[in-house]
Amino acid sequence: MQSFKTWGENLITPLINPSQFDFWAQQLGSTRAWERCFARVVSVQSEGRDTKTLTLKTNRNWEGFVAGQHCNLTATIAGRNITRSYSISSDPVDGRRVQITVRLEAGGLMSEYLCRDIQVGDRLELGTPFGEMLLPNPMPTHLLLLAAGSGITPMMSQIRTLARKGMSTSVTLMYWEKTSADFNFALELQSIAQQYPNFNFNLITTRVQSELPLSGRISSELLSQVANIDTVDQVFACGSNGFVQAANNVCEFQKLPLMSEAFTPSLAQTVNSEVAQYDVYLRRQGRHLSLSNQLPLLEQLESAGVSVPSGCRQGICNTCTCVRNSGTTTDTFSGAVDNEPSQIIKLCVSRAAANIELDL
Amino acid sequence: MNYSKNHVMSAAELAQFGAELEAIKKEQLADVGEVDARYIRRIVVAVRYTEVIGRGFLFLSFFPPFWLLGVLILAVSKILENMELGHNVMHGQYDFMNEPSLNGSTYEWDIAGTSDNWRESHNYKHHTYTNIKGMDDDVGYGMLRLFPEQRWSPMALFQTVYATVLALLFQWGIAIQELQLGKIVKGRKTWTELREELKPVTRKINRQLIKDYVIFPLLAGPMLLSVLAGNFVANILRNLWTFMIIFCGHFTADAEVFNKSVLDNELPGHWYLRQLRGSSNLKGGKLFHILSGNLSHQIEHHLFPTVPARRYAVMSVKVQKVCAKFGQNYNNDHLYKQFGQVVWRIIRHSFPSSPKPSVV
Repeated sequence: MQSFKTWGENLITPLINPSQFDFWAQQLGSTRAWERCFARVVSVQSEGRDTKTLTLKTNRNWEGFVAGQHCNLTATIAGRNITRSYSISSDPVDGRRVQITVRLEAGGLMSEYLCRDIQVGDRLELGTPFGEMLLPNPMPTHLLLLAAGSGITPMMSQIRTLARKGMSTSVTLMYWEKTSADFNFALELQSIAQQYPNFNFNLITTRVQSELPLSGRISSELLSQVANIDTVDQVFACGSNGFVQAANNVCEFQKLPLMSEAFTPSLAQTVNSEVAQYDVYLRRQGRHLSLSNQLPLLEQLESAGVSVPSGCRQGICNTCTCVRNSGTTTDTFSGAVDNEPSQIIKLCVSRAAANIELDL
Repeated sequence: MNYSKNHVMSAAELAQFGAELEAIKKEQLADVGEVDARYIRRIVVAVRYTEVIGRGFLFLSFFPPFWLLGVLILAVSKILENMELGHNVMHGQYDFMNEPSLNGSTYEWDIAGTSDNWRESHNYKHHTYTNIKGMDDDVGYGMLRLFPEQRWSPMALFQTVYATVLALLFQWGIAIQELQLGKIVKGRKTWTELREELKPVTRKINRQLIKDYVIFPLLAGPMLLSVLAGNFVANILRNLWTFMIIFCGHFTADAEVFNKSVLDNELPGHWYLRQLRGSSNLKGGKLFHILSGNLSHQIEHHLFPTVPARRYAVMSVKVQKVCAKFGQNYNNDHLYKQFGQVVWRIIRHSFPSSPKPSVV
């Protein structure tokens, strides 16, 4: 359909109802779609404890990604489309074959579905990849990768990409998990390290003393034990918010340039202004809600039963955007106050700072 | 109008009445999920397949009975799409699914009018200000005098004729409703404003016309005229059916119209009461309810427009109990009786009439 679309798009598009096109494609057992990017699960492999790698074959609307990026993944669970962001762990060279590695989280709706229920042949929807922690060009002479838990996934994509290209510069990976049973990709990392002397990796456990030489949380001492800090000229860190904070402190101390990405949303910053409730009017629904200025709008809308599409929930993926017709909101992270009428805002990082009207 | 059917409630009774209806809604909304999602997906399947089968029979209409069959099946498909699918989806009843093709704020239906205009005139004005003269444009659609409270003019003498025309061309009536052409006549709207508003409307109208009267007839080759005529008749049948169902919803003998003054200091529960008194139900079997988009449960639809319509039948039993408890008339009868009353209203109020003293 892609090639057909390019020359005939202007002619045919006004006459095609995309959802009808998608419907018939699905009825015929295809993941094709007019605009949306669907993918079929082609294999499910077990990795470390409670972790699965899903290999997906996307339809032709997939525009590719850059190693280190994340992507919104949508699955239909109990009738609802649930969206969460996952890092892609495969090498972008694989084209329409994309891998994601998911760890089971207790009570996590999506991770339970992806780790337990999903079958080969099931259909998922992919969003446009996003994320800024990308391999620099030109490459630094010594890149230090700090990964904790699921933070390994975007870095795995980068390591695989670098290995394919011959590992032209030094790369050191420090990879933390709680216990030695939790490590993913250990065999593959080992074989890459054997093949390329430029690549070194260290598995580190945070909780249990194990047979591994290194353990403990990230610290300057730990860093100095494994890597020649003097030659490192770029650090990437990916993991939980606490881990990234700690990595940030260490790198600041060592004066190392750091790029980082955290999974769990930062704890809500306390707003200086007094606690207040504001009237939030949902124009399309004709509904008034009284919401607090202490929490993001998205969270409160959801608990009030208003269904809003959302993804990363930390202001990155642009899924929960909505037009604020009038009123004032503050940005959770920047604290910026804005009252421009008809402004598109991200509900997950915006809080009411006055009575507002949303185009919902 | 017969107001004596209703017990006059005190403020406390009214609040209690509203609270009990609210409780019915909460109970149902808490249960919304997989069953509703499966239901609406099945409706989508029914709409798509009946459309293909109906058009298929029209293509084979060299055998005359196939023409008739094709027309009927295509009409059913359009009715299902407009009523049970489009109308209900646009109310956001299935927004909980987060499915883009069933998203209430973007869904585009198979009818001449644009969904955006419908969301404004129907979801917002009609559902918020139901049967309030001067605020709800659905009261007589700006051209019919259905209540003695509306001002009589000599034009009304001919309304039986143009009501019939409206019924036959109902989709076009809806298409131009939000343009409020009356304002042009009265000089409250400029031609420039109208031209701006006309753009999306003409785009949608062209699309519909091209689809039913150019593309499909041309695809039929030798059956061109027969397909063209079949599409035309199917559209008319859909128009008549929707006109009948919708007029029965608000213009039966016991349905009430209100003055703008009811909005002043409106008591809690009064909105619910207004919805009840302005709406009327139709008795019938399951298939009848589905083909009416469950607007046969117009009362429940007006009390709970965001609850998936397939739940109205169950809710109706509970609503009737609440109405009985508070001495409120529950306007419910068979189609032929209710529509008879509508026809009587159109004829009766084409002549001068004056309202009885109101108790509300």
